[in-house]
Amino acid sequence: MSSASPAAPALQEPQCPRCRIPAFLPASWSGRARCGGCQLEYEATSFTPRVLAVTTRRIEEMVDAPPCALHAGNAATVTCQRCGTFACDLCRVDQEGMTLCVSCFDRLTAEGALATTRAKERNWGGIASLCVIGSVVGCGIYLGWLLGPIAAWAAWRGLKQRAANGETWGRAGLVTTGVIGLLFAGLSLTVLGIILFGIGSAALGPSPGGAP
Amino acid sequence: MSRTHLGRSESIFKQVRADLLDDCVEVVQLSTLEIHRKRVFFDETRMVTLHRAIPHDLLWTGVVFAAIGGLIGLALVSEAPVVALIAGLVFFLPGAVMAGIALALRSSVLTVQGPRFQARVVAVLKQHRVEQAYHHIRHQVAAAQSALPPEPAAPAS
Repeated sequence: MSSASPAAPALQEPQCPRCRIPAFLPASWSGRARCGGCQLEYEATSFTPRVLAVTTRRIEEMVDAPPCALHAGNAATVTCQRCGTFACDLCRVDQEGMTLCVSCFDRLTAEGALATTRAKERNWGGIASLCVIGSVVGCGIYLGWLLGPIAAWAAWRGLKQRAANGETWGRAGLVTTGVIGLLFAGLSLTVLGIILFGIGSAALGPSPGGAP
Repeated sequence: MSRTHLGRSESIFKQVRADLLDDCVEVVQLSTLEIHRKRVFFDETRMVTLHRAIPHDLLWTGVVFAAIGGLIGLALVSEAPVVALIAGLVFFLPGAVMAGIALALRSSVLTVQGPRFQARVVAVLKQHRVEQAYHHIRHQVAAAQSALPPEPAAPAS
């Protein structure tokens, strides 16, 4: 069984900030520019980021070394710590303390297993708000005991998430959401307790036709 | 890691925030259940731009408000002039003022263009912050790219 690794995303050229057609500015240039398409005048500074060069050893130079799995002419310098494939310096990816080959790196990235390449995470603040809205708009009395603690827990996770990312915004909103969730849980439990107590006392109380 | 807030835009379902970090510009898209983060690192930035643009969101909100107020006013002006006046005051006037402000203000738009993603920050009110950020990011990018190790010399033949 073979699996194709995901294609590398196409690299973007510098673009006009309004119509997004390629902007052909001189390298390392700064000043006012005019777009040839939409005639927008804008302030721009262009850069030419350096591409880091990798030096590889040819197989003829290192006769004892096995060849790279992808580049037969290059000598392998490492083995992938996940699949054991031989990889040259061009193919090796050092990530999170592991040395990986390109396909394993692509696969782990696609699975979201590498924290440094993860671009998507759960919005705990949004989940907390959703639970509070659910308990307010929906059956607050009947489901508040469930949704309230979930809202408080999600708000707590949201606070930890924001702290881990160095974000200081929205803390007051998360604390408020958590407190409202707990209040709804308390209110719901109290009302349910009163209802159950009423039902229980009615069931256990003296029947109308009983002894005086 | 220091984090400086550059700007944000909000709609009903999505909030987008742009922050300036030590080595990159980060754009965070918050939907109800997920957070998507995209970063343009200074050592691979290709272009930084700044321009003025009409804030279309503000302009169209104002135009729609003014149109609703105007239509209600026109429809009721002969039947119920008081209601038409109230509709004009509640909808038309604020809408027209909003559209006027949008045309007069012009927002500042900053873009930081990397090889895979373009970070875009639009500021309607706090324009000086974005203009300062443009100059700051230019210097940061130049510093980050000059700090990269030199390319290895070509092997002698």
